[in-house]
Amino acid sequence: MGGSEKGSSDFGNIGGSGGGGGGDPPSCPLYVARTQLVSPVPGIADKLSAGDKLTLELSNGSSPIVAKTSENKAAGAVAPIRMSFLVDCMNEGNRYTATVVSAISGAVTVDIRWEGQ
Amino acid sequence: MLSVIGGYYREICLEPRWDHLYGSGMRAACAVSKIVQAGTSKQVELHTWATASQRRDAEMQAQTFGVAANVHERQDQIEFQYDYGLAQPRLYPSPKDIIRVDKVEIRVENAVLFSLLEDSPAGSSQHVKVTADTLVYDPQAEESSIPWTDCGHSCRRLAIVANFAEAAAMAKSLKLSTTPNIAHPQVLAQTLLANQQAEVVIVKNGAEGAFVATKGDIHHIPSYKTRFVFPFGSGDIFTSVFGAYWAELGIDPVLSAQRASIAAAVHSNSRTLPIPLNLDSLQGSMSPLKISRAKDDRRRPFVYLAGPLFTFPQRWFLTQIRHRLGQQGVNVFSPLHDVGVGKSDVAIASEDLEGLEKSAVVFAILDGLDSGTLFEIGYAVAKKIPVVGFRQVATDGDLTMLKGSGCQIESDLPTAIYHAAWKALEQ
Repeated sequence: MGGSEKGSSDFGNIGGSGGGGGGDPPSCPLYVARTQLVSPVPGIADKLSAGDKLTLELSNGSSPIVAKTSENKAAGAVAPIRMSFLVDCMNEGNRYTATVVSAISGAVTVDIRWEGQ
Repeated sequence: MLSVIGGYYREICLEPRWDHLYGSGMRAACAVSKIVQAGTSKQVELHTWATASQRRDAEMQAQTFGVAANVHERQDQIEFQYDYGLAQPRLYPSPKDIIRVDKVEIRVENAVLFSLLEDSPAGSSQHVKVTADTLVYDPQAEESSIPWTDCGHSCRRLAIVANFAEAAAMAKSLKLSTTPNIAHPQVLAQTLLANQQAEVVIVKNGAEGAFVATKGDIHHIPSYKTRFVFPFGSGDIFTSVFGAYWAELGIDPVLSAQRASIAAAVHSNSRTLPIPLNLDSLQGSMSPLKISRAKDDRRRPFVYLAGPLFTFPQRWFLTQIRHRLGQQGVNVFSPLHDVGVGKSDVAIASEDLEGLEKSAVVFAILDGLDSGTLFEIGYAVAKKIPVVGFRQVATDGDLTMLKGSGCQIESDLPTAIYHAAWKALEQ
């Protein structure tokens, strides 16, 4: 008997469409995830507030996905669930934004959503 | 080089909303990546396990944090599911059904080692064998924790970091339970130090802080009060930061533990990773908890649990909060559980107010604006009993009188529970 690659389906997609029971990933437009900014950039991330929109970009640097402000400044990186699927979607030309949910005590929480192609 | 060996698991929680792949191993490695890079100009190395479909995710996530990942294959997706942040998780698959990973020997210089769900816990039947020069061991398994001397790994220099339940389980397994005063965390730390031939043993005891035992010495490290309480991973952060400073950077174990405690508080407050470098300067802006829990239950302070109790979800919620407050070392007076239903109005009011009068703090569930709850809050305010209220839909306008009279209003459940307990314990 093989292992349980599918995981459990108890909680469905509560964290985002990248989650679910570990079954087939969603389509690129349906990918959503809530996550924190990794290594928030001082002077940029601490000026963010709820509702601000960041653009996600693929990077050749140390972090595969970088979140940038409307002034094209890097606010930090993101490492959401099903990160490799998101990277594949972005490589196919899908665009994603990270909208700030909260920015408190240096922690920036964002909701990642599909923006278009 | 510092190597972190530990699990990579999905963590899903309904409240606070959380769905990430972390686990102790990935979280610990990500936490200390900046500290180790700054101190050694090297990356942290992670040894972890993932399914074939998760491998790329693990590698990318590690890369984002500047961690060099060695991802070994595992058959099962392993998930921790929490109804809410302080709840007991459901594990999928059940531990007894998890397929054990293949045999592998891992030889490293300095290591932080977390016990794995996907390996047998004990000795010669273990598939994962770690050999290190200097190693920090975190047993992870609460009442099922395996002592170092039984777990099949080896090292020249050893530190053990465990919470009280884990340390007590190890002592019991080693038949040390009859040692005088073994229920005191400092005695537990000193006893394990001698028995396990460790250089350092740290026993953490929640809000009471941690006790660091070294040869001939015992130190107390406080825990810190935080504005917010994020319930996942503080133990992983403590162990990994201690390991980075003590094992990899050669820092004194007491200072390393002090920084670990600050780091755990920083992460609890903000969830941000990696842990920043300025832990010593952050300490100045943080308030240590000054709590000494009464061993006698009767001397523990009371928290009055106020909330509507008319529907099953309401009664379930009250039962959950009662249990979690109790775990913080307070007694709880809950009208639902301690007065009950079906009595006359006069009897209920009389008994509830009696419970209120002997309470140090009130924890109030505000959503629904239950009249009985609001009455109890007003009574507490008049008696100068502090109130911590939890709300998710009640508006600021609904709570004007509460906010204006000094009640603390929280929208995050673990934060509300911890703050209520801290207020009671520090009085």
